[in-house]
Amino acid sequence: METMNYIPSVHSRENLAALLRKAGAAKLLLIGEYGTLTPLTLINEIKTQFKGRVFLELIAANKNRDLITSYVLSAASAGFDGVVIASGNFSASGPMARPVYDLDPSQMLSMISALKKEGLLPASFTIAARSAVGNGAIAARARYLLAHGAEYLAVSEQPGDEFKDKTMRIESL
Amino acid sequence: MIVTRKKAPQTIQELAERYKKLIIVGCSECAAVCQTGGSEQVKEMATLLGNGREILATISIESPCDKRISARDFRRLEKELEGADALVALTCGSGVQAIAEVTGKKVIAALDTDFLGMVERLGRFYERCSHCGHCILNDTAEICPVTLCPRGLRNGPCENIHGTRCDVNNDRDCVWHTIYERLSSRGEAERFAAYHEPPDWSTCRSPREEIWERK
Repeated sequence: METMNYIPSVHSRENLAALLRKAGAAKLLLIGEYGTLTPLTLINEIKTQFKGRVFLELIAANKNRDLITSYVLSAASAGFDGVVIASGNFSASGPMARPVYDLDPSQMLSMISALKKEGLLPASFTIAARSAVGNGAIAARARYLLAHGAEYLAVSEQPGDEFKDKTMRIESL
Repeated sequence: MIVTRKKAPQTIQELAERYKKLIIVGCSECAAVCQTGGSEQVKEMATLLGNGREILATISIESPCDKRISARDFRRLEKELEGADALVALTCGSGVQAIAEVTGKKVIAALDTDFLGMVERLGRFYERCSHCGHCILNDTAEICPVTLCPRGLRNGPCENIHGTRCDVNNDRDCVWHTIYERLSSRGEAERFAAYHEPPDWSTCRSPREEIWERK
């Protein structure tokens, strides 16, 4: 099972440089969107300083479908090696903003898989989806995601045996 | 039922400050059940605003949001309407606007309109439908995730579910867990995998209208 070293937020270029030093010889980085700097503007610096693969954590929160399309195409074009689809934290900027959830992760997966099938994303561009770990509804949804275009589940806990071969483990950097 | 909440008395007094002759209008349907616009609340409003102003009439309309009923009931108050500077509506937002359209008068909205509510008993109102226009209840064991999930997700739980709990309302189970349990108990767990397309906002943007064609 591959490990993703997770950087949930980047707030400055100095902050990024320090995080990349910390990443050291890691093979796979997952860059989140919770910082004040969007990962799309940072990929060149990341690729210069980090030799492994870099995935974007593409969250549904506070984007409509037009913006999600733009983000994923921009991510692939800028050099990200894949995305991890997630619903995202609820109103990360505080309780006053109106939360936007135009698409849910399954709908994002459907849209991004279609872009890949149409050739608008490189064949090597990996599509993963964040998942909780558990039984019942959680396992049923995980099965759905894998059956409908997710190449991997990205989880932050030990996955069950059923999903082990199709799981990437998220670990905070 | 439309659930409403009273605005603060001071807010109403400020809104009514420049009007000397008022008519107070209540709703004997939804707002009466919410105890925000019934006959008692109409009397309270008349008392609140009566000091230094003239209350020309008070009226409780069965469904003030229905322009036919409002127009019929206001016919009985033609003289008072003529003399009124403004009306104070203890109704939902639809009621306020219907009254303004029917009377042509300034209408002060005395309530805030909250949601379409399921009534358990008096004082226990619960939002169960967001009137999104794309109902998926037939796949979700008659539980609406668009309303009951804080993110409004139409396709299963998100990654933030903690065991069975919602990460936002962590005193409650995730609605998708509840849906899964109910579907499974009925032997319909396969419905959980049904895919629900995102709503087509080109057909449901505001303001929505329904106009029947004449046959």
